[in-house]
Amino acid sequence: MSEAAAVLTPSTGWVLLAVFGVLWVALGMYWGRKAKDLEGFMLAGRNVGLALGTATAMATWVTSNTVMLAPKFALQMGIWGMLAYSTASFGLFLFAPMAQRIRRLMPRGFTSGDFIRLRYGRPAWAVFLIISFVYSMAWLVSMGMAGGIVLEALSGIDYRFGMSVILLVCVVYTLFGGLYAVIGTDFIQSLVILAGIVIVGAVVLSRIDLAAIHGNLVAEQPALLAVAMPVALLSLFNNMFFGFGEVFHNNVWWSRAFAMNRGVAHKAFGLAGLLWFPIPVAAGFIGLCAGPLGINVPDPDMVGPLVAGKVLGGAGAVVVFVVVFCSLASSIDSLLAATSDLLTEDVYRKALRPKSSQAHLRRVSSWVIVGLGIATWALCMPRLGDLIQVLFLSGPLVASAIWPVVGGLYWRRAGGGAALAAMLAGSAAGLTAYFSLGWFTASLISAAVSAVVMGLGTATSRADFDWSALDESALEAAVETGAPAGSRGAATR
Amino acid sequence: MTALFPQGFLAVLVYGALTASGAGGVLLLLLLARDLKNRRIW
Repeated sequence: MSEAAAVLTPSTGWVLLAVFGVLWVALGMYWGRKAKDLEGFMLAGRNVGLALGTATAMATWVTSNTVMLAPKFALQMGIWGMLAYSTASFGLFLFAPMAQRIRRLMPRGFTSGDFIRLRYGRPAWAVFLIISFVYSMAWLVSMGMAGGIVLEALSGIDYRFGMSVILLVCVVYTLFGGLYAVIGTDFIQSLVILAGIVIVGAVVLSRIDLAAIHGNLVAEQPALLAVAMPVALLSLFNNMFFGFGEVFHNNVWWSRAFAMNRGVAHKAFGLAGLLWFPIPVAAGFIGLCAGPLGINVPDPDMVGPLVAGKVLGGAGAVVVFVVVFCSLASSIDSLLAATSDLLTEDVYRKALRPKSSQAHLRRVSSWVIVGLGIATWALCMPRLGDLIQVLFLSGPLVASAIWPVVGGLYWRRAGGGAALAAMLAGSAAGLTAYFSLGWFTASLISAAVSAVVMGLGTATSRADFDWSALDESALEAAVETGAPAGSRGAATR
Repeated sequence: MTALFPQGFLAVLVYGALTASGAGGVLLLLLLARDLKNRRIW
């Protein structure tokens, strides 16, 4: 979309960016004062309550992709498209009991990488870290790009400047406040996102009623209302498994499980799933209004902001602008913090400098956040590809980690060899499907192949894992006091 | 002829989603008030 077609003026866009940018940085720095040590910075003191825990899980999962791709799914795949996006919430529901178990098995754990290393050994750990890093960067880049594109479309701010400012704001407040800043700002961002979506939806419905939308779709685009739509149904299951893979493996969610108060984790993730489920429908249905309202949509990625801007005018564009900014910030900050934790804890501390002090690791973590911000910015600058490609290319990779994570948490017989083979075979099959069949099959096939490999490997395994081996702090204490290592039960693989 | 979702289904879906989203915001505020009262924010 050109600057001339923007609903807001660039100066309005800059004012909104400045107001919310300063607000997030100020709040982040204020809450960040509580982050006095490494554990405070990385895990917000491990005592986050239900309100902030629920809000941070929900807000992190509401990305700019939710706000922009849900209307696109509706525009292209109708009702099933919106529902397909909503199934991503199932990942949060299913992670709820897992979060509780993670909290119990690993009371002093830091990252999802810690779990894979202790549970399956180093080869599987290395593959897992690569998958996790590729996915996290794909997510970060897709959001950085989305931010620049939406800001340009809504206000005419040049893509490069808008994208750069959003990344800069997120890097600064995450850098100063760590997870305290991330979780605190997530709460306010949750409220803004929910209010904005309800306001836009209500105003759109006040301008055109559902009978008119339905009647127009029946006459002009009946496929969008079709009960049986094979591609949409495939995408529904694909999206669901992609969501499982994203949530189960990524340190964004594990770090929240570690950060929440012990009795809160399962409730917070369950509630977050409930709160998230209606959002793709509430935000997405305006995509169905494009045809009935006679709005020409040159770029499907932009259908949401386009309809909101046309129907609501400047005020609607301001609301969409703010909602998108909050959606972006709530996810980018979480990804910066969680990926930095993974690189600091798993790569730097565990693989390179095991004897680093807490203060040193705190500094390393800060530098990693800055480095991630710069890398994301550099990858966003060329503005390559379409949003859904960036996002879904990582789908088969993360879907291959679903069963290794689930098996590792619940099956004593699950072993490192099976987990490694499951991730490799699932990723290879899923990527092949992505390029030969289509994105809407990739995660599904990856998860299926990974399930077969993991299932066969576990069924034929003689391993009998001792869960206490996951409590690394107890293991380290035992080593320091000279207790026999075998008493903690070394991992059997 | 392909079966189509009726208008009522679309209405339930859309109005339900908007109502649930609004209720979600209220729920978060109530939870925050409870956590503030019990000093269990973080």
